[in-house]
Amino acid sequence: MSSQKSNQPVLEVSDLSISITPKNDSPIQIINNLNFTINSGERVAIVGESGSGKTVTAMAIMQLLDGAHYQGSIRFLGEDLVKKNERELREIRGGKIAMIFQDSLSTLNPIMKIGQQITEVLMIRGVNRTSARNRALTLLSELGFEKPLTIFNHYPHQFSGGMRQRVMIAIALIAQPQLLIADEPTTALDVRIQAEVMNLLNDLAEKKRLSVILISHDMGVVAGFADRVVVMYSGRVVEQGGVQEIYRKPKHPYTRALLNSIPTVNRDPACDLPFIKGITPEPQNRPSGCVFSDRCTQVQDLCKTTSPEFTRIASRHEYACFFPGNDGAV
Amino acid sequence: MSLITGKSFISNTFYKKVKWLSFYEKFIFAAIIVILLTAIFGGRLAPYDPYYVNLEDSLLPPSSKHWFGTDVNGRDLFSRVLVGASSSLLSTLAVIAFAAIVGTILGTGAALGPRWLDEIIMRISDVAFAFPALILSLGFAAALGPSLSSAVIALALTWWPGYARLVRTYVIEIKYREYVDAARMLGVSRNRLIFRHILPNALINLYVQITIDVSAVLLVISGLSFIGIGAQAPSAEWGALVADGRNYILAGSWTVVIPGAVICITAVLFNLAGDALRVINDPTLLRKGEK
Amino acid sequence: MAKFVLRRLAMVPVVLWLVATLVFFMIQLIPGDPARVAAGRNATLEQVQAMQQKLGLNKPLVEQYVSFLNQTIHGDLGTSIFTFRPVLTDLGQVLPSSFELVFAAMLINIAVAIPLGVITAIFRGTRTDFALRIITLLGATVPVFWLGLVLQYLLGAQMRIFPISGQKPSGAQIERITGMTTIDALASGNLPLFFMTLHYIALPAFVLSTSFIAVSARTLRSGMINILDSDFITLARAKGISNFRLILRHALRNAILPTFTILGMQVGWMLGSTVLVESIFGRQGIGSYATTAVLQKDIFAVIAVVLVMGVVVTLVNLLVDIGQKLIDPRLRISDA
Repeated sequence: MSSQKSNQPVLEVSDLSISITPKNDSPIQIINNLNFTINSGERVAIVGESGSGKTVTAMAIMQLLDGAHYQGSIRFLGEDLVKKNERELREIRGGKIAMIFQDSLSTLNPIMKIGQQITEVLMIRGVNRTSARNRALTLLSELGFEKPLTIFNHYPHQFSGGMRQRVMIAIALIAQPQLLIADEPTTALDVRIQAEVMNLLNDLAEKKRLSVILISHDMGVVAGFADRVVVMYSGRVVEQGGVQEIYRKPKHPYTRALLNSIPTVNRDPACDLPFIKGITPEPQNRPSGCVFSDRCTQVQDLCKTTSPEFTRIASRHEYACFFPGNDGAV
Repeated sequence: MSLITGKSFISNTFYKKVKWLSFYEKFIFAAIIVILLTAIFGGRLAPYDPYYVNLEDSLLPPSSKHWFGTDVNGRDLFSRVLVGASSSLLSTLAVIAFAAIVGTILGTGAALGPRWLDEIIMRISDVAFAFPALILSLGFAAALGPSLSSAVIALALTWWPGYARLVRTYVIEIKYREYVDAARMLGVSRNRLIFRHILPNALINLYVQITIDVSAVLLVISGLSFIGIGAQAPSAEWGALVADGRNYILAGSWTVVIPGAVICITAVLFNLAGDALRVINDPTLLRKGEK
Repeated sequence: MAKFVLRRLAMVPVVLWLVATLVFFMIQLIPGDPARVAAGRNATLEQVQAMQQKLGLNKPLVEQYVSFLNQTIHGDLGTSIFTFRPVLTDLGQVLPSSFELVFAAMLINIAVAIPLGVITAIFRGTRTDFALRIITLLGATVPVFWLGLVLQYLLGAQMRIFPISGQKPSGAQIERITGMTTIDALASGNLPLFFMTLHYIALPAFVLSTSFIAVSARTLRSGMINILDSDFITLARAKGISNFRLILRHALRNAILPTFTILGMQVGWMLGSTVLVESIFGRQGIGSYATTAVLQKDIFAVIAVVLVMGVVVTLVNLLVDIGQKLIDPRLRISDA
């Protein structure tokens, strides 16, 4: 799935906790004690339901959360992003770390020509107009567009969702970043286009030695793309490990429940699709003890009072649960 | 939503909202009530006869005897302002009442009626928009002779399209909401549907526009009187008062400053009230920083 | 795009014709006998009848309509009862001055409202925002004529910063080319004189613009707030764009459309409001011309004014239409 890895981690998130303080109110802890690393060329998927904190984490890496208070560090190529000033961050955004979003129609500027939106990334970095244009056109043909010039001169609303998503990828990759964050890139697309886009990302990541963070709640898409998986729930990591281990030997009850709820071809259609009862709690209403305790099917008394520490089993497979499942695939 | 109890739905939520008014809002609404009362009873509260000419007392500055001073004809300005409140405000309200009623009828008709009716009404309102209010008033003044009534008629005719469009938009939006279909399915008759379900919900927002319009129309009417094609002398309409004092501003600036300030303050109050009503109606606006 | 513009331009004569027709109908609705008014107050019965003949009021409606159109196209808008000159000539005298005033007031409007709208949007909720919005609220609710008088008194008479009235220093001779004192002064090459005419137009233009600034700024503020909260700004920030560029190229360009439309509508309203400002500052213009015409019952003049206003507003609307499509490509769908 991925090529060779070098030694220094591209991204190192250590003990990251994020809180925001709304006006006239007490601070809310959105993210608690996040720890994960991404090595060069690696593809890590962050999964979880809505409200788990996946997008917040992505925005935190880009330092695009306004008014947030950070504890811990986010090291990119050795340097802590939390400590950087706005000017330094602007150089990094788009240039070293790039992001693509879920809804291409609302995230592309509707009244700017596509070509301009792509070349802008280079031109603010001092590249002149002609070479920016050429690079953009080359990249667009790499991305599978047969007539890059046409795309260049038109507007986002004139194209389909799949094509717009590729435009977003072009914007992200034009300045040759080392880390790409893809926030639910295929959620708004239909299945066939989903596959195309994911294949495209796959090829590009290979060719350009990109490290990728894929954020998704679609366990199917994740299985075909990621090397490692980080499972988040309500602002915390509950389990993380290699994709094989997570899918074959999930330990945390939440991970198991997520995997259970994927519809599969050989499932009995007469049975109800299993789902996780309840909804992700608001940050203010988290249960005491284990954060999953109010929805866990295997909850015990201990879970309600104490928050479990991480248990490491294989290299880089760890989970936080007192009563993990021990059997194989569920 | 308000399936069965169309009417009580409105009063319920309105009173609930009113209960939580801040001091600022209560102050504004109280001030407006005072102004409206002055408009109705102003004449009787005036300490002096607002029309009595007494050249000996010409252009006296404000004092304890004449709170606002006197104008060039020796008439007490405070009394004139009080009496002028009726001219200014009642004519303003007349314009708005006409515009709102006609606009609502036509707007509802356009929204609920056949397509051709909609087209006609919309074209007419487009045309009305093409002529600025002041110009149309000039036309009417030419035909009917300048007077406060011709100004009122002219303004009413220019103002109704705004309401027609607004009401049309509201009604169309309500028309397509589910609960109307639900009521229809239950067999509610067409008229009942219109009057007890669609209209009340559509019109709930109209009072915001009305309040803000009081401010706008007042400014136009006083402007017309100022240039001489609205209220005629010896009317105490506020705009006319400013015109009266205009040539004597050097000798007695209060004759201009005070009536104008009164217009300004009234306009500001109604404007703020409209804003306050808007927020009361839809508190989500506060989140977006709308005050 | 070019096709669209041409098509729009081709519509112009049609629209003008519609406006003329409309005015004709409005005239018919005027109560009273136009012949009587035209003949003058003290006209005798024979004179009124003669006027009826002259105005062709005895002919069938359709004929009247046709001759009305005919006359209008040829620029014959009748003769002023008051000045005894063709109305068109009189209008030609005063119209440029009003255009000049509206143009200056629009410049001030745009130059003040846009930064105001942007700043209050970016700094929303802070004290700066609050203070600025109070100021603009006052601008909107202050009666224009009163503001004019007060400023004229304070800044003109008392503090002597601005001239009290007129369009140029008395005694100065400016050769009349366009009828707009500022342009004519510029054209004559006399720079100091040009600056003086600017000095004269400054206060009236400012007074005229105040209420409009409030509305435009408020519209822009709302638009900006919506845009700043939207998703594509997030993407733009993720590209590493500086804040300045972000606001200008991305946010403003997207938010400006409704403001642009409002500005277009304001041209017409401003033209109508010139009447309040002109008499105070002793300027010539369509406003004072129309007011005098009304008071003198100079019916042809009034009709002409209404006609001209309708034409101007319609033309401006057309320009706004074209401009809208230039700003927002999504509106071009029907012509693509």
